[in-house]
Amino acid sequence: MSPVLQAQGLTKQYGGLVALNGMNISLEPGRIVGLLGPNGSGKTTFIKIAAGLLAPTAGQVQIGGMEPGPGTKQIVSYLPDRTYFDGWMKVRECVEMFADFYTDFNRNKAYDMLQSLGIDANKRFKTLSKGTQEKVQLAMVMSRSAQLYLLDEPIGGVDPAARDYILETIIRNYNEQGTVIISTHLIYDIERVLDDVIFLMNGFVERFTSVDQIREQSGKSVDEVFREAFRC
Amino acid sequence: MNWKFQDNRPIYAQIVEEIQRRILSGAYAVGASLPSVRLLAVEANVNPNTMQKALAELENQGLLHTQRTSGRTVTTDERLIMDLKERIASGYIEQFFEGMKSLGIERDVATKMLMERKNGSVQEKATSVAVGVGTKEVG
Amino acid sequence: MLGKLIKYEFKATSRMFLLMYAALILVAAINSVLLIGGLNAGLYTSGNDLVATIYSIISALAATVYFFAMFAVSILTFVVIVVRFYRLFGDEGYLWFTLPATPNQHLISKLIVALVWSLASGVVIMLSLGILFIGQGWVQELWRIPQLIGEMIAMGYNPLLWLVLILIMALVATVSGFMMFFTAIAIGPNLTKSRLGGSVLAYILVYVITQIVATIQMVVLVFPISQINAQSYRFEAIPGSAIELLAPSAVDQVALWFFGIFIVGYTVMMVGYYLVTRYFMTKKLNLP
Repeated sequence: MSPVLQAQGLTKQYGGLVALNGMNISLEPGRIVGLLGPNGSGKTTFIKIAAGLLAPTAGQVQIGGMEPGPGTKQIVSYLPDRTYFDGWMKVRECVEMFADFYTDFNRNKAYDMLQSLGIDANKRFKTLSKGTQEKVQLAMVMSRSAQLYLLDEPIGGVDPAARDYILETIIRNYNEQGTVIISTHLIYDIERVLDDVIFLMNGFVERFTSVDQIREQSGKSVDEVFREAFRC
Repeated sequence: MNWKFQDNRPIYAQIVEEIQRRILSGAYAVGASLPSVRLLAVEANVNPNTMQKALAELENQGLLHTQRTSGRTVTTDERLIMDLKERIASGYIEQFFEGMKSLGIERDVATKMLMERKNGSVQEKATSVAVGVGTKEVG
Repeated sequence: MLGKLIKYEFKATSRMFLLMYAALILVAAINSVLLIGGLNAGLYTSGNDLVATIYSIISALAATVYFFAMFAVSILTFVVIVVRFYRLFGDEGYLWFTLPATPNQHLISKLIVALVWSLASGVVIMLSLGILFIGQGWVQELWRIPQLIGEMIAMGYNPLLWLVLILIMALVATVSGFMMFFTAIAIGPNLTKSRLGGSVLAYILVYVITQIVATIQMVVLVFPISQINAQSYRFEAIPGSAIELLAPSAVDQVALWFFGIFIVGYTVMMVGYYLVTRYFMTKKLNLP
């Protein structure tokens, strides 16, 4: 099976600061992958490059065999760590917009999710609480049947109930033939949902392995192993 | 309903055990149909691939069968289930003896304590019924 | 895809614009009524000084509001479009730039919508003026225009040429006006940490460059014109050729030359800015 994402020597430099330093990775479809690393390790930079929002300084990345562009954006569903809808839009309009631009978007699924959240689709986006806004965006992203989901810190700063809901939404709705990349620094809470983990440190891949392997080999949780690896 | 897992072992192995427990306790009845992989994964709050791995393992053990049309069902082989029950039960028994041994109590003494406890608890019940709840039993 | 982007641009901006236009038309209508009413009732020249004074004050106020509104529509048209482009490079960019569209398509859709609204604003302003003076019988005067044009053609001039040249120049000036801001906004985040600060800085840069080019244009323009004796100048054109047809008189030829240089110069500059903006949107995108 051909990899859904491949990166070779991926590098990104901002002036003097090196965010990604020769990152190499190959991801197979059908996996839920955790992108783990301390703040500043390059997680968001990598995700933005994969999403086509940032051009690398050197190296390449291919998604579905293509360089980032309109072709990859068709098959990549991206959830950033911020709200991106115009506050004046009604929730309903957000849904219809996604339906308009993305052929793999399932609007019924989206409306169902909104309903189970008790969100009135006629409300304007800015009238919703921040937590609700994030959930709306999550519903949009997960209602797509994408080949690659990029979720940047989806559970950062939310209460445990919301966190469980978010993880459940991801498990319930993602395309099984697709791959999900979840970037986070809160490993303990999401470990049980991950197949594989990428340890990103100083802009390159320190380790890439499965959760099962880590537990079998070390008799510890990924969270513990991670803390030890990054203790400095 | 969040399934509880330990940190130090692969999750799929723990799922296998949990499902075995449910079969033995009758929560998953003999011959009953299981929910889909994804629904089970959602219920357990785990990765569907992990759940799939656990279910495949249980199929290997013969405890689950996959029907082409109706998904997964619990086996109807009662003997297989009894075997499992016995195996797990002896596992618990061995654990008991291990635990007692670590206290310096040998198997014979441990067994005697067990019998006393068993008889004592029968007496405990009788006493408390006659005198009322909250009576502290002596002996 | 481009069509969809344009559709959503209009969706996002139409409420603002339609409200503005409605307000302008309303103010024009009020002024028109005051004007007609006042004139008919002879209130301006009424013997009663107090009534005349009060009425004059009200009319003056209404007229001020109208001119303010007209001014506002022109400015706001520009502001709304530029601000919307600016927001594209903020949080909203996370939505737009992950749609399956190229940055080029985004840029073109914004330019097209900017043009359409500019045109619409122009038309609405004209309309409001028409409404304002509706009682003054300009509709009848309208028929005189073709007549006037015919007369001028007979005299050997080509007023249509002037018309077309002015329209093209207005188009080019409008687009380049926007383009300068768009370029600055696209470059901005790469200059400084503050996106706004960087954009302002970039705009100053763009403005300076534009002025330099405009100055060069003027030099190119003035030099040959200073050599011309307007009365006797003629292109060395083949009789019956396009030039002679378009610009039969010396005045026309001067106009063609003058506007032509301006149009060509600004178009070349705009294409340059367009390419720079597109480059920055593609390779140097730097969302917060």
